[in-house]
Amino acid sequence: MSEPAAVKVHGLHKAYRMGKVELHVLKGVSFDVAKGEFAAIVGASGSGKSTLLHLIGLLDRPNKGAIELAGRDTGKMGSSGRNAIRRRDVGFVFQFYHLLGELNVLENIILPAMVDSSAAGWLGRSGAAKKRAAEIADRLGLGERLKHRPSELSGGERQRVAIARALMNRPGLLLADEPTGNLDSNTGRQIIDQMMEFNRSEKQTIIMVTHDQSLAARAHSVLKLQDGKLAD
Amino acid sequence: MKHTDETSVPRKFDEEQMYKLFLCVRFLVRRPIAYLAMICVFLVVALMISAVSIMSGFLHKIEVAAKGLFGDIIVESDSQHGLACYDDLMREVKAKVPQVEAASPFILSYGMLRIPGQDHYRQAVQIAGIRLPERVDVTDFGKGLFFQAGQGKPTFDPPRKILEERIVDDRKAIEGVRAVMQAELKEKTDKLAGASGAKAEELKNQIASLENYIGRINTALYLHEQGTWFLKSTGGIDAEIARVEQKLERLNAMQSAARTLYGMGWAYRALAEWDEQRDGNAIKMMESQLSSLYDKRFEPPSNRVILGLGVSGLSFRTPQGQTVRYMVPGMKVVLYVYPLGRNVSLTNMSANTARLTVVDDCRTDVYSIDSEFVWMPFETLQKLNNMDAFGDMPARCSQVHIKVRGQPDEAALREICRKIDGVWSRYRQVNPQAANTLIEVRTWRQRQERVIAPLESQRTLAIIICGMGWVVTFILIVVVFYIIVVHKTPDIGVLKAIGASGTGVASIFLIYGALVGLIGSALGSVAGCYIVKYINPIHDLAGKYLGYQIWRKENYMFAEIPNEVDMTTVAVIIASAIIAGLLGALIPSIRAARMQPVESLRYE
Ligand SMILES: Nc1ncnc2c1ncn2[C@@H]1O[C@H](COP(=O)(O)OP(=O)(O)O)[C@@H](O)[C@H]1O
Ligand SMILES: [Mg+2]
Repeated sequence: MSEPAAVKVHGLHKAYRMGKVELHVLKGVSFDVAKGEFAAIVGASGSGKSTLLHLIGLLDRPNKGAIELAGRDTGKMGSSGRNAIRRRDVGFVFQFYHLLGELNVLENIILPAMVDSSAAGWLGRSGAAKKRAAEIADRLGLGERLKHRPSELSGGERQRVAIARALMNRPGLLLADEPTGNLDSNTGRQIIDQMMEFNRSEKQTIIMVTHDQSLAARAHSVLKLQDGKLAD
Repeated sequence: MKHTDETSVPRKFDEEQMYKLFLCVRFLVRRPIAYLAMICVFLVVALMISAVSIMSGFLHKIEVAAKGLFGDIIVESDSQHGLACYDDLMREVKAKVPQVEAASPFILSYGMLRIPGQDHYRQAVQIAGIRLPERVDVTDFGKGLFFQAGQGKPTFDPPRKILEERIVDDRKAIEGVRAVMQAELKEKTDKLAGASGAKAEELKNQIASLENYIGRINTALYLHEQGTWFLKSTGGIDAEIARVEQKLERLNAMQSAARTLYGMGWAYRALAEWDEQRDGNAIKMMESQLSSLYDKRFEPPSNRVILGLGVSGLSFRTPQGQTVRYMVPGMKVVLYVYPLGRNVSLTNMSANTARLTVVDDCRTDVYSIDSEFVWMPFETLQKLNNMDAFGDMPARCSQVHIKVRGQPDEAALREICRKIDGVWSRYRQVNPQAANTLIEVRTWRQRQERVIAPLESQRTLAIIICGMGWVVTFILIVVVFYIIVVHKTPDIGVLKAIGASGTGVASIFLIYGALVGLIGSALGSVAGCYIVKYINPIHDLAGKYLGYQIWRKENYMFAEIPNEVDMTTVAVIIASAIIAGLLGALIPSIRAARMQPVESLRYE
């Protein structure tokens, strides 16, 4: 293999314990996603799609199994190593946007760059970061909205801000959890178009969770979750 | 995918500072709940600082006042007639107890104060007999004197030139205030012409009050002039008094001669009756002339008095805070002393009278002292009080006040008290004339127990109440922060999802909590300091608008509410406000920092 897979998942298990009951959500999931690929994860509600995506994005730890990102085994990393990957290599788009209400659009987008800078470094970097943020916002049609607070935006606009934030640090991997779930189909289609545009132009690997078959059909590959495993 | 190997090593702590401060400031500025926490801190800090400062101020004032008035140690006799052999006692104690720096005798008596020419004026007073300037080595007496201020050690015989100059200065200050009032009066009168209804009524009241003040000032200024005149013209009156006294003596002699003649036989009866009639009238006239001359005489140093500035009817304060005196140096008072020394029985208690020339007035800031005390020479009061040497009875005083070197604490002072007692016991055994003089030696604190104990318990109560308030606020701040952080848990998840470390996120909320504590308590301290500094005008205003004074001067020892802030108190209060903020933020932040990012995101 000349280049490692962007994401390599092997024998992943995840169980939630709620009191005495144990809910076994993932029961040995394995797959690869190549660099630059646009993959979709589909499955019934409650089948563990979000759980899987969170594990890939290092927002949670599996009970068993391995996750390799760009050839590195993340299971062996300490929290600072995982933090660094989250800062630079992975962008995450949540189903419920999760923007910070106290910050305006520009500040929300710029936040990952700020988290990735020292105070001194930020002085030199903030100009470029603002330019980049404005540029992404522009591409996502948010050019006029930079000074607005999230509460003043529509659902579609909020999701675009969340995507812009995920793209801010030019991560190699973009993870999106039902990015269109709360939007009307027209807006949803637009957003997918924009994501595919980034996938093409910046050679980004994208894994997107969706329950919309027509959206999944546009992906390079589709992974279907069923009973805690991938179905063929 | 980019290579991130170099970032796998932990970053230095300072590398992450930027976004923390940024978010802190954003959270502070754009979250109303943060203002709530800050207002909370602000109010309690302001309250604590004012309450604690004022209460401590009072205790400090009492301490200073008690020591300043009566010295560190007070020696009293246990008998009703007073303390004999006090000069022996002072000499012995000074020689044998090295800690004793100075001592001075003191007599306390009661009497009535009257002013010649003002028949309606009578005021019950306490009379203190003191030795000047000796007393200033023992107490702070003299610090509050007005006319001798800045003239070295105070005496009952200050240079009259200086008194005259001070009267002139005082006059000018009062005239300045009068000018302001006159201008105000004119303005109000002009306004009244165009006013009607309630407004006119209000103006009328203000005008009446101004006219009243101006009238009283005019009286006071007239009396200033009179005082100056008495200070200047001395020789003339003394000569006049001598002349009238001689004449009166002759007339009295003639009258008694006439009485003798009358007794010798009826033949001279007609002549004698005529003479008696005539001379009797003349004697009465002479006596009243003499009495009015006495009223004007500048008495010798033994017959001088220093008045307490707060004795009612002797002065008043204008709304501008200018003290206006009716009694200035040179003027006379008559003191009726009810002797507490020998020959006192319930059926025979006649007053001894003395004419005294005012040389100064004195302000200690202890209201109960300033409103009741007059100060006169020790030896003169001793005679008036029937405490002077009589037959084989030695002269007596009420107390001996002692100053101790340095600033010993209460325990050390009590030890010195025991030593003084011991020295005196030994002296009494070998000196027969001191044999009957038993003494009681107490520290100022023991002596003032009755005054201090209730105030100390008041302070304890205030501190307990404030402390409870503080605990409640502390808990409130902790709870407010807990709520803020819990409320922000999804944001913590987001921050972690974009790569912020757990400790980094926790520190945002810690800085946030500390900032709320700092800003709230900084503003609160400033407000508290201003409240304390302007507590007296604030109190006056409150009294004016609420219609009643919370602080009745009659009920408290001091004429003014203490207005100094103790900086240690401020520092402690600010520090604990910051700690409250930190502590409130700490518990939920630590918990949030330890969660997996996705758990925080799910947190609802
Ligand atoms: N933190 C958790 N604690 C307990 N149960 C969880 C937790 N997260 C997810 N689950 C459960 O795991 C299952 C899978 O959830 P999820 O991955 O969100 O499904 P999907 O995204 O496919 O709808 C659901 O039944 C959900 O209730
Ligand atoms: Mg889901």
